Amino acid sequence: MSSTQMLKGILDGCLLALIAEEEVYGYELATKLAAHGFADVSEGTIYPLLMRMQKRGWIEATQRVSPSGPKRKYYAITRTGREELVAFTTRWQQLAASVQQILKEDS
Amino acid sequence: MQTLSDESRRFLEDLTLYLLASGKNEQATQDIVTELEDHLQEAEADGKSVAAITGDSPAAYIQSIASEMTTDYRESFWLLFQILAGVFSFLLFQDLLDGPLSYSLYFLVGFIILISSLLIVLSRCLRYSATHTPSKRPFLVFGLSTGVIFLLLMGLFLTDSQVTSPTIHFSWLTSSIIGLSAFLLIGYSAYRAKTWILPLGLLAYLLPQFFLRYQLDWSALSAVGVGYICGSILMTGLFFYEKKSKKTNQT
Repeated sequence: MSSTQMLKGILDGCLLALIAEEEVYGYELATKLAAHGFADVSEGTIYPLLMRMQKRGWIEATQRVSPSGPKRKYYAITRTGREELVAFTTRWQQLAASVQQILKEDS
Repeated sequence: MQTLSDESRRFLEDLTLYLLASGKNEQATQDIVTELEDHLQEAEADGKSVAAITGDSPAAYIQSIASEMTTDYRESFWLLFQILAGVFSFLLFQDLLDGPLSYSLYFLVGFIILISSLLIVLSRCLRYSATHTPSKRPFLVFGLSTGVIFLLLMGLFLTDSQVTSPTIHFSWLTSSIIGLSAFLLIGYSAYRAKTWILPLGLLAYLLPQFFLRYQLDWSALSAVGVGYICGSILMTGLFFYEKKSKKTNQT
């Protein structure tokens, strides 16, 4: 399995975590994601995910004039989004612990 | 603001075309296209290419965007209705020049089915061209399908008088009301779509015919010919004029 395929399932949670830190717009979010080690993921991947998260009510978007000039869509986390982030964090920690345990047993 | 590379601009055009031809909401389409345009502008300023945004396959990326957007059936139906009304209006006003309106059920049903089929073929063709590199074979198939539909349309016109089916005859008053409603609908559609090509083209098609037939006693066929030439020239001219002014507004 390629790292991109592995990452796909957890991107939603990572995006939610980044949006929870502060309101961000698309390019800023993609840059942050790359800076956190997700450089292999093509930047556009975030938009279909952002659309889906908006539909689920996890995030909301507002059009605002950015400090650098043009009007941009800024994303903010909602209350439902925060609940989902907590659930994701728990799921991830359990999964990471299980994987870690298996890897330790193997080595 | 810096201008986008040709590759990025083409990608955004393909995305817009694909989403609109897939029946996605116009506002939602505009929103995602503007957002990606903004992204591409910053990415290019940072020395990145379109591939860094879309991945290896722009076509797959376009489809992934489309799959997250709901199809706006109401808007699709409204668009289909407007196109049908637009096409039918040329026929309707032409018939009005000859006298009160009268249509057979055979003609009306056949016309709606054939024009809808034509639009479905066109929509598939647009979606295909937005996600594939140009190649001869699929376009030959689309060309042939369109050709067959046009032949069937001609057949419909020719066989209309020979096929027996219930016919609706309208009085002069009803015909005038239908004509006026059709013109108002075209005006409203043009206002919504912000393009005056259709109503002005229609006037250029009809007014010379009216003048030639009823003032100069020309035959219907010669008048239609002149109307056709006037309408085509005006609509082509307006199309390029609107395209040019849109480009000027963008830069």
